Amino acid sequence: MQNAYEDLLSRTLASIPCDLARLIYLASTRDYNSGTYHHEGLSARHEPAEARGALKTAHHEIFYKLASMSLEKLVGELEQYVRVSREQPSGLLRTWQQLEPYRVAVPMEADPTMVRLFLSNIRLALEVLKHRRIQLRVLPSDASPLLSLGR
Amino acid sequence: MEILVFAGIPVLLLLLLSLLGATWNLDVDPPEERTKVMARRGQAGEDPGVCIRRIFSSEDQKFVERQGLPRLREIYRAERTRVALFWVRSVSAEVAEIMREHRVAAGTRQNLRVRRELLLILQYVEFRVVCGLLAFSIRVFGPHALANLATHLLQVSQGIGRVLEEGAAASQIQPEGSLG
Repeated sequence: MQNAYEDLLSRTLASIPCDLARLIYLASTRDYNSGTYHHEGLSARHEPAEARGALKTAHHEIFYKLASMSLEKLVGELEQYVRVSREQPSGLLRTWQQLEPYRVAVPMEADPTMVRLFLSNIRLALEVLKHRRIQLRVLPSDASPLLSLGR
Repeated sequence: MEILVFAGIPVLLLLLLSLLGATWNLDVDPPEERTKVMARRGQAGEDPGVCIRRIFSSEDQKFVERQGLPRLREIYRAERTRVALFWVRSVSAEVAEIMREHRVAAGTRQNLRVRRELLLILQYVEFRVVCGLLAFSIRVFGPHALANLATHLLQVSQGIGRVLEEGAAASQIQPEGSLG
């Protein structure tokens, strides 16, 4: 179990730049219908049950870390996630606000209060980023010293 | 007469707060979710205190204040209030269920320790009062006003759990029918 877990941490998860992206990745290795985890490479190197256990443990740990994170840090995580994704930031934020795909990233058997806190904090983080983007669109023409010098 | 009135007011207030803690819901959760709360709590490596401290800590509130957005402040208060009340209701339902099970089990036991049972009842009364007070405070003043009370509530609920565990362990050691 420990070997598969360490393998997962050192090979796969280490190459993912932030915890939120790791959470989304780990949730994507879980079957929607059965709830079981599957990772081709990890199952090839370790016993399938061991690989499943490693994925489940890692999923729980990352979720717990994100759920107990301060809102400020979570905003940073979300900012980084938006940056590394290949989507348009405005489109991604809109999709996340409307469809709430992050709900699927919650592990099974997680403490319901932690789940509520996590979902609530993600909603707040999205709101913060949305406002920051609005401010960025409004501010440059007013705040840029170069532009004001040209006036 | 006046003494009776003055003594009665706090008692009535405590009873009212206790009832509020049990019934005053922001959004009613389906009962099956409450039973899941009991089944899911306490995953390996999870410290419930971390979650509670995060919910009631003012750190996030200060961050939201710094953003200077009234709409965000409103959303934050509503969101955090909902989460905080959910936790109070969950822990309240969880302890009520444990106490109900204990009452049923105690009814059939012959080696009850009166002192321990009284301690348990006192702790449960304290727990209900703190639940009511916390729910009231969250609704009226927001989730950050009585952060220490939330930690205290968690400690009281853990204290009830400890007394019950000790009782269960003691009843396993002692043969039934022996004097407690």
